[in-house]
Amino acid sequence: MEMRGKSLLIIILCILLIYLLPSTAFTAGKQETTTDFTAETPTSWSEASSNTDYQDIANRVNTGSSSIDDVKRNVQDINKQKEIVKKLNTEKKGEFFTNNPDMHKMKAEFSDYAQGKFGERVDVNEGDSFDAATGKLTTKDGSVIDLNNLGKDVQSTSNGVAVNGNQYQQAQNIHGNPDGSISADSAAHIQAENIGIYDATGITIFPDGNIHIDYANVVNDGTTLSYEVQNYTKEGIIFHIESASNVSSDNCLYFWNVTDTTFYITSTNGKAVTNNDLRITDCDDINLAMKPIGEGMIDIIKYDATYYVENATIVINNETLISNNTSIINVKDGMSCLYLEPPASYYYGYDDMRKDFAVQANDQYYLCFRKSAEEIFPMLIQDNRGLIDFIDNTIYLNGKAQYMRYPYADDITTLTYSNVYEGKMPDTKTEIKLDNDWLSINLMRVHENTGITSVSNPAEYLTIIEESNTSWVRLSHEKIYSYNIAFLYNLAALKSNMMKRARHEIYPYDSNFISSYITGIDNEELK
Amino acid sequence: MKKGQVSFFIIIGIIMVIVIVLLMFLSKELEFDNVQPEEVEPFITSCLEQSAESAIKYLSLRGGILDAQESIIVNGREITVLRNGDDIYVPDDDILKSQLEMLTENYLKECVDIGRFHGDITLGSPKVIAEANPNSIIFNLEYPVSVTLGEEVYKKDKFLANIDTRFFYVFSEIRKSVNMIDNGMYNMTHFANMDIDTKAIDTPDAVIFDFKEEDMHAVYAVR
Repeated sequence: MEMRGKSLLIIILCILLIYLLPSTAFTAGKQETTTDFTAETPTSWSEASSNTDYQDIANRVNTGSSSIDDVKRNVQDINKQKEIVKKLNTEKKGEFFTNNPDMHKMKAEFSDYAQGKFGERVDVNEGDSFDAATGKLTTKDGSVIDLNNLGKDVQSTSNGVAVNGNQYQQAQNIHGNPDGSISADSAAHIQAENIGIYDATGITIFPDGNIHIDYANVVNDGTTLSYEVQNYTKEGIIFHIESASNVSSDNCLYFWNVTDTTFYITSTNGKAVTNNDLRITDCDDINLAMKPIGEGMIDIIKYDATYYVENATIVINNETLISNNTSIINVKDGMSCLYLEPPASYYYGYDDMRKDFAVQANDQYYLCFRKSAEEIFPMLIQDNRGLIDFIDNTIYLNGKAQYMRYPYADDITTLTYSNVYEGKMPDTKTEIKLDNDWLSINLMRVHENTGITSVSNPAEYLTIIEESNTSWVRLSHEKIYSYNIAFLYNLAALKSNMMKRARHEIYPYDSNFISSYITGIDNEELK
Repeated sequence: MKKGQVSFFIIIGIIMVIVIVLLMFLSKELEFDNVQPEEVEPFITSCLEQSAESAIKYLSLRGGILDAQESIIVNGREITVLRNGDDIYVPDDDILKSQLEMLTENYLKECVDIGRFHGDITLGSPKVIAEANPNSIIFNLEYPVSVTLGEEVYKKDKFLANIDTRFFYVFSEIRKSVNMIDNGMYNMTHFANMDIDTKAIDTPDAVIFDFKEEDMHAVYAVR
């Protein structure tokens, strides 16, 4: 009987305890601080009023719209939810779901809780924790997800968390934005659809799949690897980078020292649009530099040794193409062939700048380069075609193209290119033969047809305009003669800057010659 | 000094004065003897030839223009610029002839020294008429000359000199080439096809052209 009495007393006490515990926790319950999942219970109404979870209840009590019983009931509901969290926190991590057969139930309860609380489907996993006060879920790998306003499915995985299907590892403050995008302050790894982001900060993934990253050590979009990337923005099939140490594709195409550049890179092409200089290594291991003219573009066909260029200077070794329009470059041992839309110019630079030359296209022009004896180019019979034959030391220019050199005299070379020959008609054909050093022009032969077909400067002071089989000459008073002259121009010979054709001689301005000439005619008069 | 010595020096002095006066007289007589009346014609013809050649040389070195409106100075020498106002200009044959005639007359007056003739000499005004041929110029001179020496009277008023020169041909070629020149651009093919040695010389101010034919230089500038 005594035992029965004791048992009865214990039962009554238990009932009382069960009944009073929540209210005790409510009225005088000490605030529990947890390291992981935290269920904070307000210690007073005033505190409850400051807690979002209890705000609605507090408001109703303060306005008298709810009875104290209602309040208690609501508080119990909330505390019931928090109890779930509390249980999560008090269980030993790692064994939470595996050892406890109730954890599946607990997981479901939390999912329901999150659905009710945040409107999100949240699947937690072993080792996860949740801070109800902040609404932040911390997964086992250390990722922190702010469930407030996230509006996406969250699924804790064994090594991170998936938010709306995108995998995050060690991500801090994953949170939703009003525009529907999801941001993370940082992440060791994010695997979104077709893109992997590593060691990144300031990552935002937009509902349409666009992405912005403040910084990432590596961004891998399946076809492109970008390293040490600042302000990476992916919009559809293009991405923009404020800076990156390099952007590569297929481990063969590299863009180095990238600054403010937009890329469109596919399995076949690597296209960059930028206002800033780029160094590039292509899939044939050719190194080139791109210097945009305003906003420039280069589109590299990865396995076809072809570049499309707009408004840019392209430098490959000692060859330079300046394209103020659209050009196509075929590469093989440097530049192999160029399709040029004017204005566009090709420059070849030697160590000795006296040998440097340039070819400028003044019409849609196709220019090729013969750099080995094995290369055979068909006869140049078509209009607006040219061949720089480095093997036979000859330049063939059909049509509207210009050949330019730096004029020099007395070892002084001017820094401005000067016209040596300019074709004026598409069908004008010209052959320029140089010596083995490419220093002197041995012969310029112009095949003119009708109209003004060419303008030549076989010596700096001398301009020859070919028109209907007639050579018109203009002498430039301002320019000194230069040594890089053509020794033969059609039927004329140039020697010591004096041009002679039949019995006609043309002399440049030369003070010594003028002096002796005037003395000669003075003496003639005195005879 | 003895009296005899004084007399000796006086006599020597008188002899020296007489010899000097005699030599002066004889030298004048010898000169007159070189230009006898019958030699007037070859003398004046020779002068006409020299004057004509000088006129051709002088005029061609000035681009065929005696009173050039524009010129450049190159190493102290004035080079005629073939320009009349805004137009490139080469004088035509009539103007060239009239300038040659005037120049020849002036040279002729310097050449003919009437003091050298023996006897009474009267000279009219020389009038030269030039006649242009492809390879020569005939200079017709009307120059009334009268020489009276004792009983002998010599009169002549027409002289003629035929100068072999392609002066007018050269200037016709200059005219053709200059007409092609616009702002210093000229036709090299045209120059190369000429049968004349030609030069084009660049200067800071203009292009000097030189057409050389035998002893003649036609020099002018274009700018």
